Amino acid sequence: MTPLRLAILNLTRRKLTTFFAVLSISISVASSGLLLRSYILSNSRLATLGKGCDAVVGAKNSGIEILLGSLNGEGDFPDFVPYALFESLRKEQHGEGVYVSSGIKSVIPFLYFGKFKNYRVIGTDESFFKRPQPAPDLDFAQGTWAANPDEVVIGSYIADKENVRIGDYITVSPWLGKSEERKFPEFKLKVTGILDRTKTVWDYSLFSNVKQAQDIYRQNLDSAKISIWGYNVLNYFLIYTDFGSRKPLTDLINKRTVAQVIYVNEEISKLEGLLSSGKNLGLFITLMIILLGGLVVSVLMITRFDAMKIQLAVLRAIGYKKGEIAKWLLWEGILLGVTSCLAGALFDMMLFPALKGAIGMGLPETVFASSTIFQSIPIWIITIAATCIAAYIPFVIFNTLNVHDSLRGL
Amino acid sequence: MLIKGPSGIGKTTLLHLIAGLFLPDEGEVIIGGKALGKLSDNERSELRRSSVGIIFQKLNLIEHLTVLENAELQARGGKDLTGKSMNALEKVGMSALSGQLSASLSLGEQQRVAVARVLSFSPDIVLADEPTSSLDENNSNIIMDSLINLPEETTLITVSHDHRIEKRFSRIINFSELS
Repeated sequence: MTPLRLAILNLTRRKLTTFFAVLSISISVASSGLLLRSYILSNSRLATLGKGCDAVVGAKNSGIEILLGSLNGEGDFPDFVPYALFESLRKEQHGEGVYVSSGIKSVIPFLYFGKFKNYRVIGTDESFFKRPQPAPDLDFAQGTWAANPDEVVIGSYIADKENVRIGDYITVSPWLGKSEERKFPEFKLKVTGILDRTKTVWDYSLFSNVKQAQDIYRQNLDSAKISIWGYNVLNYFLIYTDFGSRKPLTDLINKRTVAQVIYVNEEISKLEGLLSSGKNLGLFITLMIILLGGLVVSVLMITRFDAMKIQLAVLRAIGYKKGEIAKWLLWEGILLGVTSCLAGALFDMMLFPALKGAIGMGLPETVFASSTIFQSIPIWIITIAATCIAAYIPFVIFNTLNVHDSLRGL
Repeated sequence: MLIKGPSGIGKTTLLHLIAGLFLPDEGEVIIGGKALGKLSDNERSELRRSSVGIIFQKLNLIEHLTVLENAELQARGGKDLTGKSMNALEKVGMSALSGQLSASLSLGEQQRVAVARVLSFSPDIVLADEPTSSLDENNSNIIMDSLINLPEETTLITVSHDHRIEKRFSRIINFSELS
């Protein structure tokens, strides 16, 4: 009888023990996989964060939420800020305002107003693409800016994934606020431009003009239902500023208006700090869970070995070599490990959406930050290695076994 | 050949020495011209696997394997492995229970399966350690009939206290007389 067959029979005939071993290990695999995938997804923010401004103005909120809501397309629909404030800042940019020391080099409007599938449609203007030097412009791979009504520019990922070309019409669902759950009539926009690939959230976004965005609000909602400023609102302004002029800008926005300014690099540093602590904690918990899984297998194998000591001695007596016994135990480890990984991957796949829903804003949208089950592969490799090592422990004990003594008196 | 003698005199130890389960402090065990002391552990295992059949007094079988799987444990026969093992089970009257787990068998039935395991691969030497001591007359007869009817070229060495089986052996060594 081959070692593989012995291993299969040993596992399948001891159903209850094998079931609980597989269950324990698969729970370890699933938990570790969920932690790892959450960590990877969370970390992907730093890579996908939209580049292109020094500061963001939004409704009063935590800095990280403003950062992720504007530059990473995350979270619920953001609150509004008055369009009049944007116009004031534009005047500051052109040196026509009261606070000439605000140092604003560019201010860009930003208003969510629709979704094409799961991709967010942003109302903005051409300044979004033409940045003040030395910031590089956001170039078009094809076409031009959507300056006219019912026009839109799309990110490169959407063009590839959804097979959309210049001149095509796309159907957009209005997305007009977190409290507005009713279904609004869809509308069509003509694609006039496709952006170059940026490897950021902008590849997964669509851009139309602010007037278009405000018109959609006007067509679907009463003015009073939107805000005290009526239809004249934005979600964010993206700002380029001189480095030395932060204090005047902060004073201007935070102390004298309903809005709040955040500085992108500062918030990224805070986010990195949070991710780093999360990473260390997550890594520690993952290692503990894997260790626990490994110990379960070790205990199982050692207990099983104690029960089978005489039978192993009988096998040795009838001519089974030590190598064959070792292979048998190794096969048991591999089979347990692989089966547990398959079951664990299944749990991982089923539980990840629920976990993501429970964490909410804690994780970015998977539409642009990919999270696949294969990100858990390192956990599976470690688990199979751990079960093989655990299965090998009985072999080490077996090597110290004296077959003659074990069989004496049988 | 039957080896008899009081408990603790070294009968089982002699069988284990012959099987190469351990090596003597002095002297040599030679089987088929091969000195066991000069063979590696793997070579001794291979010799046992191909040429030595061992039957213990009890706990001969792997509990979670079926009767047939236990009978196949030592046999080598490629495609014909199951056929050989079934023939051997037939000889000891256990073929009807071939699919049953060995843990559910009585001691007598387990001994018969252990004998079938030996019969399934035609060893040169069969070592039987108290094969009938816990068995009733009927099971004892089945076991001894199977062993005595081994091919003529097979050497049977049995260790036993059981006076019922002495008459079946042409050569008896009494260890108490030797000591």
